[in-house]
Amino acid sequence: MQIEQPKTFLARKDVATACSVGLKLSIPLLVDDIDNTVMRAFDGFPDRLYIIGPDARIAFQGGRGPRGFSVDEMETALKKLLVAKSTPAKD
Amino acid sequence: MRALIIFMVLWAGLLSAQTRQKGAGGFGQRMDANGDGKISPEEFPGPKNFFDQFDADKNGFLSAAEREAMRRARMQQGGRRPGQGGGGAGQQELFRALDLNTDQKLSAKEWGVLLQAADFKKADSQADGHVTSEEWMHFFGQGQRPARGGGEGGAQVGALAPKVSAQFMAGDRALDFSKIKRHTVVVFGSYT
Repeated sequence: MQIEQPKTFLARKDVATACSVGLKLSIPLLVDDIDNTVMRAFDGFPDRLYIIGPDARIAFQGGRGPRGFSVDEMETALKKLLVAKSTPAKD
Repeated sequence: MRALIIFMVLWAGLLSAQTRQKGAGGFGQRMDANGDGKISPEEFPGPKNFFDQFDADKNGFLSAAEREAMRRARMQQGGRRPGQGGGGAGQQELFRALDLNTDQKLSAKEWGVLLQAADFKKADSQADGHVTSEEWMHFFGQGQRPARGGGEGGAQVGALAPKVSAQFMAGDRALDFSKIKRHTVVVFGSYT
């Protein structure tokens, strides 16, 4: 199957729709602008995982994919963060 | 306490579409909303050029046979989801896509179309002003495992999230990453 690299944001949204259906995504999907602004800011190319905390600070930065992309690593970090958040601080 | 997980589509729609499908007809069956055995353009969730490409008899519908041809084409292309590794074929395809003048190497300008300039010098291990296919594959971890914990550009742990926004696929709302107020997992990936 051959598709062209989207040249407009709307065309990219069309492909994102196909992605959502094709991968059967149940999580919210964001679409970067045609200048890849968010990707550049996070250096998210080609695949990468982040956790952003409730203070809007980076709580976890995963390695660059494909070899550095680790769901297990992210999951471990997320669990620690959520446990820490739910545990009252000792005086 | 639940975290929000969002998926970020990057350079969606590169030279070829690759999805992994299990079994015949599953995708088509889910699309056939009215159960008439064929997929209309309204039922097809992808771009119109996808639809037109596989509507072999040009009757305005995708038959079961045409959907099977679509599925086989996808399977032959291979499939990869973010994080599944084995991305060598996808990486090579991206290299070719960025190689605008098809000279089998990337200049700094070609590199900068998608990637950070600071990484060009890191990838150019021979320091000759170009990134070859071999240097490209090595840089993206095909030859060695990158250091854990990121550490190569991007938003560093402890820093405020970049003040950038992206639009949700559905609707017109946008997410400002610098205003996130709950634990949020962001998955950067691509759909090719």
